[in-house]
Amino acid sequence: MNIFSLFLEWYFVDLPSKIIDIWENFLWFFWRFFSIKDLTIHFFSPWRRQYFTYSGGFNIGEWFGNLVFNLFSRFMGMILRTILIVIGIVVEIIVVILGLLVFVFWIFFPFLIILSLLIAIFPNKFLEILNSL
Amino acid sequence: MNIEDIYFDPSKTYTKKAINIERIFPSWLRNFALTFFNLVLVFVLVMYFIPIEGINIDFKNLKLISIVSFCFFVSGSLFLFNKFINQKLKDVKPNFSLEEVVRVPFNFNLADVLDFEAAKCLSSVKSSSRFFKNIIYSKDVTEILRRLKLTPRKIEDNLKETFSVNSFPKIKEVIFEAVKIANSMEFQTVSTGFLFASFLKFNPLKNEFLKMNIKSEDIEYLAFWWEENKIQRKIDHQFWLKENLLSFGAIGETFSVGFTPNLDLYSIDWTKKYGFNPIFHFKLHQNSLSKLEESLVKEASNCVLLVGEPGVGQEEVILELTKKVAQGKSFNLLNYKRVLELNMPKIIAEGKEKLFSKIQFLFEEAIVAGNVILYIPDIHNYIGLTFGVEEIAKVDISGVLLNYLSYQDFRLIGTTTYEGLHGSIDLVREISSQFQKIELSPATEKETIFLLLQRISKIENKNKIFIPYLTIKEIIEVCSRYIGNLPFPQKAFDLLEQSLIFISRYGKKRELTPDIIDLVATSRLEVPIGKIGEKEKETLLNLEELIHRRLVNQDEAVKEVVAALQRARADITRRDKPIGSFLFLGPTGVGKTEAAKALAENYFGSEKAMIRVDMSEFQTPDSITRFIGTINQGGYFTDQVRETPFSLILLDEIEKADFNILNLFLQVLDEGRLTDGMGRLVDFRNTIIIGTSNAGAELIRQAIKDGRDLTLYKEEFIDEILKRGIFKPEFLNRFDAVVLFRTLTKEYTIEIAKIKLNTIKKDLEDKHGIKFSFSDKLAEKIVEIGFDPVFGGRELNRAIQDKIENSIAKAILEGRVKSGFSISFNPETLELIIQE
Repeated sequence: MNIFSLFLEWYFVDLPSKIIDIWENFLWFFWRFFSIKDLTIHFFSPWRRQYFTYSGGFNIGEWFGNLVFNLFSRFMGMILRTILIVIGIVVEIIVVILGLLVFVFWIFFPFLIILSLLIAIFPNKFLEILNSL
Repeated sequence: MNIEDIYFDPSKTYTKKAINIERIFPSWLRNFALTFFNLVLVFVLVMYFIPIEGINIDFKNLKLISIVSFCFFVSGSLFLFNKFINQKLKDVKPNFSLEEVVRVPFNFNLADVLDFEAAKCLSSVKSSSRFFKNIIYSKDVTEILRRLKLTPRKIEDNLKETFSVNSFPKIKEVIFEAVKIANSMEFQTVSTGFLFASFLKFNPLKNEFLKMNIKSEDIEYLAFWWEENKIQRKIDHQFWLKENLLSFGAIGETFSVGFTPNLDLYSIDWTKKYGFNPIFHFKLHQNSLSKLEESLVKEASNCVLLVGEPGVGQEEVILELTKKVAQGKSFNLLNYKRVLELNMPKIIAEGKEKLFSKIQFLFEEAIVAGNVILYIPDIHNYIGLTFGVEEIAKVDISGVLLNYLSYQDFRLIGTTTYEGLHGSIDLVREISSQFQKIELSPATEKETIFLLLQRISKIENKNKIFIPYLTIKEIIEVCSRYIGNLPFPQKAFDLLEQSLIFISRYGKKRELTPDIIDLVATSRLEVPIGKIGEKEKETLLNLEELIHRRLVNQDEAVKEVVAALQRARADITRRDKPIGSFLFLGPTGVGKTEAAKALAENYFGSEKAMIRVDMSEFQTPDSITRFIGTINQGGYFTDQVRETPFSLILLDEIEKADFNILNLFLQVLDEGRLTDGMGRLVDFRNTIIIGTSNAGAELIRQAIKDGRDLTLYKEEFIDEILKRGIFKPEFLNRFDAVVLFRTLTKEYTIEIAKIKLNTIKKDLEDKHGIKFSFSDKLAEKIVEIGFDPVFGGRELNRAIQDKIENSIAKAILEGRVKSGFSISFNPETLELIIQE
């Protein structure tokens, strides 16, 4: 393979796949950082797994007390988890957008370089186009 | 396989393209140009936003647009060009494995396996000596040489003559050998370090480097260490890698797992402490680590026991597990869990009243949290009450433990020793059956070198000290020879630590040299340790003369022992056998034990370095358990050898021992090792084993009476011994030499008497300041009383004790003889003569 084809392979095959890997790493990291999957699975679980077990005998007062505590614990968990899941999803969306921008920028970067050379040679043409816009 | 048939064309590789580019447009020039154009761009931007009088940045100015665009073009192009060269051309990633190259080398271009540095060394090289010179000046090898306290220049000077002789191995041969080395260490490319190691496998460099005490394996280890370091540095620089991102933790995780306030109080968080330390390529007990991971995710009980002698590296395994789990490189069920060491001493120290409920509470918390792997070191201390005598050990949590062991969510790792397992845990069957046991054997010397090298940078940074490779080798050598009661790697870590403390107190130079290791080991073990090789050589050369100072009339025996030792030790490679093994046969009192003592004193530096076992105490078949121990208890014999592995073992009256015990020695004499009753390996490779026996003594006496030459008579004698069934032929054959001791004649007994009287003389002068003189006549008189052809020198000892030592002792006690006095004996009446 000659050096130019090697360059094209590196630029348009190797590097984009590396960018996708890094992008994926960040998506994976924030997914884990906010534990979106775990929080969703345990969405209705008691907060920090704190709950009372119902004892064998029947004591309406104790039973009711436990029920209230357990419901409260689950409710607390749901609220806090919702907040974190929402923040997590927003961050993930930002990472998706940023990743996309980097990817697009990388693909068009060589054309930008060529364009800059053309501008350097024909600056007046560049100004004309800019003014017409 | 003909090496010539392997395809090898460096011009067809990517690296060759990079080398050509480097020649025309070197990286320093590219970097300079890139920096310059970047600076211009930055300058224009800064001036645009922070205008300075006189400098007008107007983007409608055509010239400025041209300049800025051109700078952007050049700087962008150079940026891409640099990245392309570094990532595509220089960073070789062959699409085949080195294992394939080793297997079917003809299918590949051998030059494709070389990394950029190695390919650069090969570029335009015609001879392999030139190739070698380039290699020693390469960046990686310079670092390796620094560890060996060498420089490329020094090596070039040392090898000036060797370079002039054109007998170097072929380049292809060297590269193919380097491929094998790199493949054995699971690398994908061949670096200059591996090429250096490969060169040392061939002459003339092999011999030249051996003179500098450097073997090919040493370079292999160092190359491996350096390559690992390079990989680690690369990982550290790539912040976007998962392992680096993970160190930020996960806030969401705390929202889905339970609280552990009590566990946090009574445990040490290994994940926090070590979880994000680098995971190295080499891991001690790799197989045990895999087994541990598998055991922790089984559907049944997830409790594991790591069984091994203290110091075999149980903590290493848990450390590696912690890192793998924290960095998400284990099973999904384990990844990102916390490894917590339960601080049992702290829990117990707070009182035993609520101990069980507290532990129960902590176990509950671990299960409820759902992300905890508990670790209890030396768990046998807390199970059962039979093993362990310390106060802290008198706690039995097996009742509590039993309730939890079968829970799948309860993950527990315990470490224990063989004594602990058999003496405590196995006694509580319900507990023992719930644990999956993983046995750990001691690390090898090679593994310990790797572990020490892995830690070296950290230790050096912490202690501001340089540790050369030869120091690591000395640590291994000293530990292997002199420290037997601890296994590798622990004994090496301990010695290193003690040496670091020593140097921090007394050291002037910031370098830990092999001499310091010897010094620290000498003071700790009370055994003279020096440059073992040289000291040993000197001792071996003079051994005959040294032994003769204590032993008379046994010329053949001494000659034979010394010759056997010299034969055994002349071998350059280490043999997997004892240093020497001898069977001394002869009548009682002729100097067999004395010869052993003389050997211990001269070879091992002290008579104390002798393990003496009376084999007549092990006559019955059941005595084997006392000899090598049982699963609960160490052996009388094996424990002594484990304590002092560098010693002389004297097996007195060996013929009286039970055949089962003698059979054990078949393995000891053959392989230099024995497994004791507890399953621990006992190393005999640094011992001299001497068995003594007076079996067939009457035959020797008769042969001497008949005036026969003992050396010629030996074969006949051995045949007779075998005929009588005293020893089995396979037993006798395993000794380096069977040595016959002659009976003492009266003439030689006088010589022995003189030696003994001289010892008394020396002791009296040194300890009491009393001058003792004696004549030959006194010696003759003593022999007249004490000579007995049957009991040999033993009767002589009795006579000296009775007639000489007792009289002097009495006189000293009565105050008749004091310091500064002179004493002598009347040779006729044996009366003590005192002179003030």
